[in-house]
Amino acid sequence: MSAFCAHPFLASLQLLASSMEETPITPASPWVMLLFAAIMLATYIGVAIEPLHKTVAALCGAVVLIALSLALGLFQYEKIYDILEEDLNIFGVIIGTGILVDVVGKSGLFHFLSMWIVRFTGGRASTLFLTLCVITFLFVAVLTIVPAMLILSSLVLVICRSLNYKPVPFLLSVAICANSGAIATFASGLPNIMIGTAAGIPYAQFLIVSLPYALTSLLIAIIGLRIFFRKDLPWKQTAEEQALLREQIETFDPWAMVENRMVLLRSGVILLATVLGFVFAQQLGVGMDFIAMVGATAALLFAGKGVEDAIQKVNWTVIMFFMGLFIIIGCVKQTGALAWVAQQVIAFSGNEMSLLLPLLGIFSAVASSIVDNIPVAATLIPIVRDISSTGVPAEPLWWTLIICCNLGGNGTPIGSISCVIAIYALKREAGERVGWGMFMKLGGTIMLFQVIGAILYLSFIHYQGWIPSLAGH
Amino acid sequence: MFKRVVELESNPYNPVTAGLLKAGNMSTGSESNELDREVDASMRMFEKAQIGPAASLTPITPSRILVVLDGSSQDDNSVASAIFLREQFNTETLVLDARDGKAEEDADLAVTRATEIPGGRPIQRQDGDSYDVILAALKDHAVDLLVLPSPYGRSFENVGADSAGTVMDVLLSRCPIPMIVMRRDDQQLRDCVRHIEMVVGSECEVESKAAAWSFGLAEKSSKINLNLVLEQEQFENIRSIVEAIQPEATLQPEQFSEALAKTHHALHGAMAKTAATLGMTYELHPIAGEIAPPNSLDEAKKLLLVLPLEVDDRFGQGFVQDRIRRSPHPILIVSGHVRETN
Repeated sequence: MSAFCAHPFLASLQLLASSMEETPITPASPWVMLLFAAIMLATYIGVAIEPLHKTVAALCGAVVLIALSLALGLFQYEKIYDILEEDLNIFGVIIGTGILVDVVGKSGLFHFLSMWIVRFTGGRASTLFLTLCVITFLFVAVLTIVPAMLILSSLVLVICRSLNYKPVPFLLSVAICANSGAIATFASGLPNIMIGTAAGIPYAQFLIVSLPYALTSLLIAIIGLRIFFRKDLPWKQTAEEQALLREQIETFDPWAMVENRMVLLRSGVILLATVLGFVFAQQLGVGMDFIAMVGATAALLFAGKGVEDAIQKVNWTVIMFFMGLFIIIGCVKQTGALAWVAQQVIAFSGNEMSLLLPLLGIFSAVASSIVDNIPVAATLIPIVRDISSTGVPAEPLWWTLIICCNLGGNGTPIGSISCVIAIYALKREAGERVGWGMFMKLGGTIMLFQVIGAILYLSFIHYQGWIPSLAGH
Repeated sequence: MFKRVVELESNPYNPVTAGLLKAGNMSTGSESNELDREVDASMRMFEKAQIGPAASLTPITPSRILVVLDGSSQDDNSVASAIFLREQFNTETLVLDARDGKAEEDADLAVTRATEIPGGRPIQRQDGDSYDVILAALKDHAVDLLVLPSPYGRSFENVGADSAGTVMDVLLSRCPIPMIVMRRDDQQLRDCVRHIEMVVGSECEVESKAAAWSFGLAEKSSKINLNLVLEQEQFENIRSIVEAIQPEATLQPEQFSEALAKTHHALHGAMAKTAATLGMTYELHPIAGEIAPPNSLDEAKKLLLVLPLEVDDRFGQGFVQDRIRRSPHPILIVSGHVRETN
């Protein structure tokens, strides 16, 4: 036992190890833990307030912690490869889905679908509102938040301009509903991919566990939005007004956006096949990263032009940010700091799920509304692993993390990329500003109900024994 | 603590690049410019859809054609085209021997060649140069399509891309009806109508009519492409002028391509709808900065080029002449603004 572990408390943590570790982590001394945790937090602050580019901040943190780890003898250099190896499949998913969505997007498929669906509303405010909320949910579930938001926010701006509606209610509705869509499937958001991969959650289980609550949270959001914007849209319109609106919306021809129908069709088929591949990946005995790369390859082969362009659009900035982040968390984990946090959580909750679940849910939601939810998820993953290694079932905790990390984004204007895009687009294109006060009144209230609902839902299905077990747990 | 940056997502699609975004301070920095571009591009995509109700085009097919013989080996191709058109559209064919310098005592080729074409009959030629003979025949006989070879009365292999000929020059200005110009011998019309490339080089009022002819001549399950072309030299000229006016502006071919698509969105919408109705494949290709006309004279691919032309548009005429000279494929020219002559 290292001299650093002479302290009896720290010694007791020696065997509290991540279930993924082959050898137990020998906890470092308290000052080392604090130092590493401080550097990690400083990196997160650097990422948040951005004196540097995010990726640079993460890589700087990683470099500093690697150097310190080696200097303090925490581990050998080869350990870094083990740390990154655990998460290689996430990079495969990011690259594959990135290329796939780029090529599919270029075909105009989602622009076409969204415009085609919106035409059916006839331009009526109430139907348009509901339709946009539902389309947002579906698009985010399939495309992830950023591309879905860019398509839908521009659609809203163009439609509102044409129909003379205020864009604020529609855009904020789209932004808030996007966070419900983000919990629907494995691939609908990076936190889901990270947590799902770390926990080994099959795609199909998302459809069983998180999709029902995604729909519920969507309903909560729609009700909240409808009440909040009750005076901002013409919810009741006369027959003449409706006729005029219909005439106006029918000046949009979705096919005019499509350069090549065959490419559109092929893109749709490939995307659908990829989603099915995700669902059946486990049965096929392959990883999600393989499915994502197959989908990307098929897209490049059959559905598009501009192979170089599509590959260039893979966001290496994101990938390198993740590399830095995983190394930071891996290094902090090696000090035993995260295990210590897990121990505190267990001690505080008495290892009772009835306390653990709400604690985790509230913490992850609040943290995600303030800090980027990817570092939140990345930091909480090893903590949840450590908590669950004490005999507490892991499954409810994983689902809590998935759901609350995403829904927390509704809490503040900066809580989620969807809100950021919506508010920016409003300011830039429509000259409308949405302040923190207004947003927190709206989003914060919705988030509160959604998170409470999530905790109740997960507690209920856990105690009913309805949460499927995970292999290895 | 302010959270400025938001979230990183796996990059999605062009024009979306997820990248790193700042919350709250979007007016500066490359990230906000990126978001600007992407929202703009997405909005432009939707604005393309606002075209009013796009109606399908009604395909135009020939019912009565005039086949012009020049006495060269290219006549075989012209006659074969007429036979094909007869098979497809039950066209009535008039055959005219418009050889240059034909003496009165020379046998009338039209008499013999007309017998090869079901429903064909020869017509009497009037005096004059070939182009006068042709124009006179058009005036006297109500036909809706002209078929003739180019280079006129010369060998395609010998003349090559250097000239389309005087007859072609005159007809481009004065022919009031669409004309199919036959080029290389192996490019038979019956093979070429399976792949049609409509090329638009400038604003033209007869684009829709040319598109309607394209759909009319196309075979079932044909592939029809609309190419909106801005040649490299033209693109460079425009770019240098714009950049002289606005030094900070940097124009890229992609911006021009988008502008081309935008300015022709009604035509594109109509062609897309027509193709869907008729079960044909259709693609739009906005090509800003095209390096050189793509059809080299020895190209093996078989396709029909369709060129709309406003005859009083000097640039347009030059563009069409250039395409004819450089093309081994048959070309359908649909003209507008032809002045009536007495």
